[in-house]
Amino acid sequence: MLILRMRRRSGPAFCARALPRMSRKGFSSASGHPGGQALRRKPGDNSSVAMSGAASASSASGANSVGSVVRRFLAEYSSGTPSRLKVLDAYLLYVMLTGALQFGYCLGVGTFPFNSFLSGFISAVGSFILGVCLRIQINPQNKTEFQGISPERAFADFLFASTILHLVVINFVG
Amino acid sequence: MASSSSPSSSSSHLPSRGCLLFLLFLLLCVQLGESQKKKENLLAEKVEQLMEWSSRRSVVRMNGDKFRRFVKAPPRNYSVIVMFTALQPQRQCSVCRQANEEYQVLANSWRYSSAFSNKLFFTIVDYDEGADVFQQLNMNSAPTFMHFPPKGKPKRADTFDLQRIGFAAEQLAKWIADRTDVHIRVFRPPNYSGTIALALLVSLVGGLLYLRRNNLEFIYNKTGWAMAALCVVFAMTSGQMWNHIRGPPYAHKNPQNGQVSYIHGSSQAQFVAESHIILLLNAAITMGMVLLNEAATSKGDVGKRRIICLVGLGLVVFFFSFLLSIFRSKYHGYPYSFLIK
Amino acid sequence: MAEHSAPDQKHKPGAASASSSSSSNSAAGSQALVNSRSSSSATATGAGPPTGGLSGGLSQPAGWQSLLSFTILFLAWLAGFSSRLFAVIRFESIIHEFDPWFNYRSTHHLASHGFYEFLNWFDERAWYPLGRIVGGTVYPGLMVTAGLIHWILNMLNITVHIRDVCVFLAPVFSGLTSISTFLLTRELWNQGAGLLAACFIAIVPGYISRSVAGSFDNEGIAIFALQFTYYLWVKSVKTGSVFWTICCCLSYFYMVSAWGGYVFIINLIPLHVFVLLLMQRYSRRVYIAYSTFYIVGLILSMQIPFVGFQPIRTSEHMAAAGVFALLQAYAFLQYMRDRLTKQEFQTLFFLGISLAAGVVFLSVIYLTYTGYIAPWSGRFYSLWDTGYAKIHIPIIASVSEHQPTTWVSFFFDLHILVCTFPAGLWFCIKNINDERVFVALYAISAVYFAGVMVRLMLTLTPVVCMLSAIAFSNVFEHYLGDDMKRENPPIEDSSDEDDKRNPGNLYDKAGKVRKHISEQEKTEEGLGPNIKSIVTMLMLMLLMMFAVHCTWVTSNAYSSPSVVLASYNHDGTRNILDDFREAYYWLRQNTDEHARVMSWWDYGYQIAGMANRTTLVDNNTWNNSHIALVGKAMSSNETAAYEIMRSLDVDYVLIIFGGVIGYSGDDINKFLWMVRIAEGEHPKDIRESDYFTPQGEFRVDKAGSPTLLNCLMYKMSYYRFGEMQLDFRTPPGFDRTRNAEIGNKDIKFKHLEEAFTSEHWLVRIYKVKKLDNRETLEHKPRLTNILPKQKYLSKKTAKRKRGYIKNKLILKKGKRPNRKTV
Repeated sequence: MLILRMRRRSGPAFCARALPRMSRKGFSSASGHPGGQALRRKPGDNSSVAMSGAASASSASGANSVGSVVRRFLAEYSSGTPSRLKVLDAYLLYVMLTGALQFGYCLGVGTFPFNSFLSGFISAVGSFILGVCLRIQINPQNKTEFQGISPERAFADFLFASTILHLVVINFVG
Repeated sequence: MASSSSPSSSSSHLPSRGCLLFLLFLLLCVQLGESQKKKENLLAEKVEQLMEWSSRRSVVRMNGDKFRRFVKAPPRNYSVIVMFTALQPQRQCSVCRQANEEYQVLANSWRYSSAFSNKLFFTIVDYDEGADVFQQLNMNSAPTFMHFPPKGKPKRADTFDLQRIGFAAEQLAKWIADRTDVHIRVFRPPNYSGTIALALLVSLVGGLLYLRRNNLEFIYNKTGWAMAALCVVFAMTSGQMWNHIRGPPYAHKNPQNGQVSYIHGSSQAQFVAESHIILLLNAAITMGMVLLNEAATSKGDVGKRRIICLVGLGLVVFFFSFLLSIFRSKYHGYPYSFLIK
Repeated sequence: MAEHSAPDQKHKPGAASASSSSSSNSAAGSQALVNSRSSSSATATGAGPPTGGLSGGLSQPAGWQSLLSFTILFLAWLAGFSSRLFAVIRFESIIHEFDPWFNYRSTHHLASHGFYEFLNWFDERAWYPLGRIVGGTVYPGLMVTAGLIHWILNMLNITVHIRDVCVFLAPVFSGLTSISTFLLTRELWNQGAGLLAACFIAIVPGYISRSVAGSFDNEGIAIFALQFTYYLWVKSVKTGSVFWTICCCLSYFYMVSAWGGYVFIINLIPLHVFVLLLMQRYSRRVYIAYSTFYIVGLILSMQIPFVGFQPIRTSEHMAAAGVFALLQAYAFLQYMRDRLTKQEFQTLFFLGISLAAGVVFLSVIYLTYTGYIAPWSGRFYSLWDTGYAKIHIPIIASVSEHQPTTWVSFFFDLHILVCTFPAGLWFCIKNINDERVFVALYAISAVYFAGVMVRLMLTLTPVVCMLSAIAFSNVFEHYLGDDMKRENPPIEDSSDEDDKRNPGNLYDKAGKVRKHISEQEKTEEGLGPNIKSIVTMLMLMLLMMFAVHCTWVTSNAYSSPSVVLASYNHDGTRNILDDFREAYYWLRQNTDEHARVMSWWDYGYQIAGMANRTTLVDNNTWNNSHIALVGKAMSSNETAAYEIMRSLDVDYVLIIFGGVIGYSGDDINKFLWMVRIAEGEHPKDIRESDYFTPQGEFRVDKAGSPTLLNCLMYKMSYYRFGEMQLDFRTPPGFDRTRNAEIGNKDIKFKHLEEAFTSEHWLVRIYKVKKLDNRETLEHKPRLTNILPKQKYLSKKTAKRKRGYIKNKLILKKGKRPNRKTV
């Protein structure tokens, strides 16, 4: 029933319709986010407010603003994530900064040894992606989705993939 | 005798004769100059007239008199390209129409180009307007492109070899460059019909989706998608792209005995009718396989399922044999057949 | 990695072995048939437990199942290998056609000089004054594979020659293709379908045409790489494991090194991900699989020198990058959505998505506009806009392989598979899951491209084999079993829990299957054994016809090495015309090692490969002006041609002449192309119309145009031919190919001399003479040293003596005087 209501409300934009219709994320969210689930399960008022929110594309709908959303998100993040994932997130942030730095250097100084720039940049992006994949695979909320892959196996895969990536990067740096 | 008595009289006539001669000479010069000027005037007038006509239409239409005056008669310091054609519908010359389009494109490119000058003009002579011209030049095929140079008669190379090269505007421009050293860059106006059709299609689909936004169940109907996929597959495997690119006729009617053949005799070509037949055969065989599967997995009356099973099997076997026999008729030397020879 | 195996799948191997046996040795086949019959009866009693696959030892049925699968795959490999050997058995183990000779020569260079020498090879014996950078303009996968196999075998002291490795590489890899097709179909459907697919692709003519023994070309290994990459991709989407994705990337790297058709992979996989997103089948596994594949695959593909920086510069690769960016955005939004309330999400959503989409769109437009991203290259654009090539790139339009496909070609190459694969597609779409979306997209895109260009029938063949194997497997599954147990419908999604979140009306399997079984126990009625056996028998007959057709097509159509010609007499005996090799070996043994040979570009690779001489132009056709120069030399008269040949340092000229045996692929028939190409570059010197008669015909007899009758190609082809009488019915100098008596029989050369003519006059080689020591004068010189040899003779003849009256009238009485004229 909830589903039906969702569908009808989310008429106008095709993309927008696609996402909110899957309101229940399945087992993963059910097991790991009781808080989030409770928040979402509020009947009535949220839905009516959200209807107007869907109709108008502005960010100042209701009583929320971007800043408060971000602040709430940060608070929930610091409280709700295990420390393993936080370490991984720090690593990801570091890799992203490295990549941004490389790109800034390239924009400033030029791309002369283009293959070197490419290999460095792709190494940064690749490490980031592999880190994200590892994070997804060891996140205990996603356990049911990756049944055959224990966290140790995920880490071993990460090492294997990083080895291959860096071998190729070293070959390409020139 | 006469010579001895005349010196005195001739000596008095001599200056007057000289004057007369001189006067005659002057008169001749003046006349020559006049005729020269008249010629120049005539030439300038002709060029001006031609330029005016060109500015109104890139291709100047000519009848017999105009042709004789502007193209054949001296003085001329310009080249003329003439297309002899027969565009009236009762002449039924489809090649003339296509060549005319290309010619128009070329003439327009010349007219609006930066190199446009009064040294080259494009004209057209239609058979119904200038039949005498055709007779005079002993011309009995249309379309024909001829180049009349400013000096001298047109040679063999001044007739464009349409049979061998075709009538594409680029080829005509190359030939003109060869004969007159005037280079024309052919500019075809961009064809927006493809873009418009695509935009129309997208807006149609978007409108349909928007109108039915509340009930989009039909997108999830697997049977619909399966049918669409199968349509694409059948269209491609029966050779519709070949038809689209090569444009074959629908079927072939043998002029001698009036027999219509739907299947092309050789394996290198096909008719439109033939591709439709193959499409139907493929669809039938596929449906047979699906029915076989349906008969085995569906629930229901056993007798009905048996009938469906037999129907499916019959479809597969019979239509495959038919397909094989058509293939045999096209690919001579193929030795195998199934049920039908 | 769950196996979608229906319980009665062991019966399919029986059918599969029946079809494969008809094409390979019957002894092993019948044994397999007996084997399968016995095993099927054995396993039917032990009503199939849902097995986990090939695990387990020799315990009943799993052990038998794995043994049977192994036997069938081995037989498929053997069948595929042996059906590609027709040319080797009829003629000998030789490289065919033209392009494989270049590949063979490169592999030979690799095997003799080592890998780095090959990568950095600059070939100065091709394109004579210019040379060719081979390392940067080939796909090295083929050469490296052959070189590696040669090296390994020689390390094991099995001394095979590199030529034999090259000749037999494609048949060996066809077996590997069968195995990877088996793996892929097993992931998609079940093991029985996999075995059927392996057998189909082993013998299907569409694949054999480009991988016979002797055809040492990229496609032979590329199809294997393609199927293996797709198998690993499907595996990684199903499991979401990074390990499988990295294996997929490595296989993709191998594919990039092997063939230019890797563009198909790098566009199909993003399309698959995009359609999954559209179908709301996004899951974390898809994200992991595609992101890792894109990044690692990108940097791996740039390691090939020929590919270089194309993956980030050309439009053909932009779809992959676009989908990558889209997937990142989508995944990030999904992540946020889980953490925030719906309302908060909305506020961020529109802002974020519009910003991201706008930025991406504008940057792509900007980069394409400034030319940083190259637009679609003509080759690929012509697949989309089919009228494009005819107008703009006539070279592409004229190649015969680039023509559209008639239905006859489809049927010829695929026989019954092309009729039944739509049924397989239907079954896949009706029972949809992530990997079946992939195979449906593969089928539709492949069938479109195969319809547009004949050459791309090769990419359609694997998917046709897979889908028709699925169709046949479905039929056999239902009709081959016994009536006592009705099979469950194929299980759609066992490892996929995301569909639970979808509305229930899409997938009704969870509840319905159980209901079905319970209902099934109640109403259990089969179709009856008679009907089932009739259906099975007819299906088997169809498959046998397929096998027979494949063998016939392979034997007749695809097994001729173009290097050796064979003609058959009335009584069936065979006449072998080995002129090409005879001429090339003459060149090899009788000319200087650094001699330069001029010929038309068709034969360049063969001359370089077999005769080992420097050529001027070859099949690579990368420099049109150089080819135009050769064409101009061939179409001018002897003096003008001699100048060109001197400027290019040509020592020998080689032409093909088919007038004696009626060979229609000779140089006179190609002559108009030479003229056209030359005219394109030198329009003032060469005009095509000069070579036609005034009526517009191309004739070689007396009525031919004088320019044609005096051009170098004509003279070289018909030198001394005027004295040759082939048949008592035809006059001497009768050209069998053009069916005309030649016009210019008395041919003399000033600057060339005939060096060699092969046995049937197919190949004629002329030596270009050096400049004379002294220039010969064209006119007779003025004589200045004539001494008066005679005495002074008096001019006084009888008629001039003094006192002599000239022309005196002699009068005689009674006779009329002779009035001599003064």
